[in-house]
Amino acid sequence: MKGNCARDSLDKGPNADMTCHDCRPLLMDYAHHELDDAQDALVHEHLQTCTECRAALQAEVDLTDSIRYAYSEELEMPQSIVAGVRQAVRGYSPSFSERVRTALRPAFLAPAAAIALILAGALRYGPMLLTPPSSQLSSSYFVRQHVAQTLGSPSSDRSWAAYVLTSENAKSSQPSGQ
Amino acid sequence: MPGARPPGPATPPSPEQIAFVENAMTKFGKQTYNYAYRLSGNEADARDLTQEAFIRVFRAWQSFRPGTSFLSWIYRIVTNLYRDELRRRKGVFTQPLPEDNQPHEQAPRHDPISAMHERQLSAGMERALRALTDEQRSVILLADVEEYSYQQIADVLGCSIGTVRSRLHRARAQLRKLLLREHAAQGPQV
Ligand SMILES: [Zn+2]
Repeated sequence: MKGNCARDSLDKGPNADMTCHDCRPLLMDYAHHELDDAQDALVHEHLQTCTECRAALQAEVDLTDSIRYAYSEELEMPQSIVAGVRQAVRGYSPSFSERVRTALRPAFLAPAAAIALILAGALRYGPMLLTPPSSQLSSSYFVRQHVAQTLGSPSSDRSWAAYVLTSENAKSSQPSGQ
Repeated sequence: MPGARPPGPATPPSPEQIAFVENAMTKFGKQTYNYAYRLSGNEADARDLTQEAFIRVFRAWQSFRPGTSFLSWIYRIVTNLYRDELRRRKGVFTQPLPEDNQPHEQAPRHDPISAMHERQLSAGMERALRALTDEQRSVILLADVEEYSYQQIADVLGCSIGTVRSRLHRARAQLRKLLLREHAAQGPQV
């Protein structure tokens, strides 16, 4: 399907290389924030002037919304699951290798992991903080469009991962009947 | 080392190990159960999948890497368990078993489903989601309900980002097609 919407026939602007034909296959990834920065900016620019691609983007967003709506009800986990797991835990016999690994597990693992995380974060995001945005891209656009979404991303369980492995937590933890 | 598992009376698991699984159930039990429920479409299978997943978490707790996402890990376990179960129970399971990556054209089924599930999903969307392959449904669940990044989905499903992208494209295209069919079948109202 060749794009034949208004944008194709408009005067070529600074992002003239993005046509409807180029844009449409990228809209799903754009809606999921999965384009690289350059492509994301091109699609964003194209959408400013193309109503038909905007409508196509809206269709992507609407589909996601209706999927989410269909699955919006959250069920509580039945307590029989917890009971079943505890029963399996009671009857559990670890293998020799598992016991060796437990014995060798260092107490400083969690702090070490935290430090590794910080270092990884510095390597990953440090250059982004230090490097000015490319002159091709609108930095204010990225601030507006992406930072809020990134901050709002769900399921951040990394801190828990470090927390749960500390021996302090292991000692104080009680099987709760929640 | 062959024959490493020691005979004789069971050695109790370490407090650390118990704490790990207890904390995991407290913090992520609900999300895991809901993922299993949405994937399988019924409560009985969701219960079995979730319980088995946490038992695996308990056994393999030392393979969990601190600093990585626990949910991605357990979703991967649930997805793999579900996939294995579908293969094992071929023909018995409530879900259809289409071939990998094939657009699924079959008519909506009329399997008995729980009242809760009926309430939860609007009828047309429910049928359409159930008519997807389990692979298509899992990528949609992860991308659109869990809002996972493609990288996280690739980790859960054990495939490349490119595969995630194309699978999601196909799944959503197929869902649209099925919804159009639902719409046509229901006549002019909405
Ligand atoms: Zn356009």
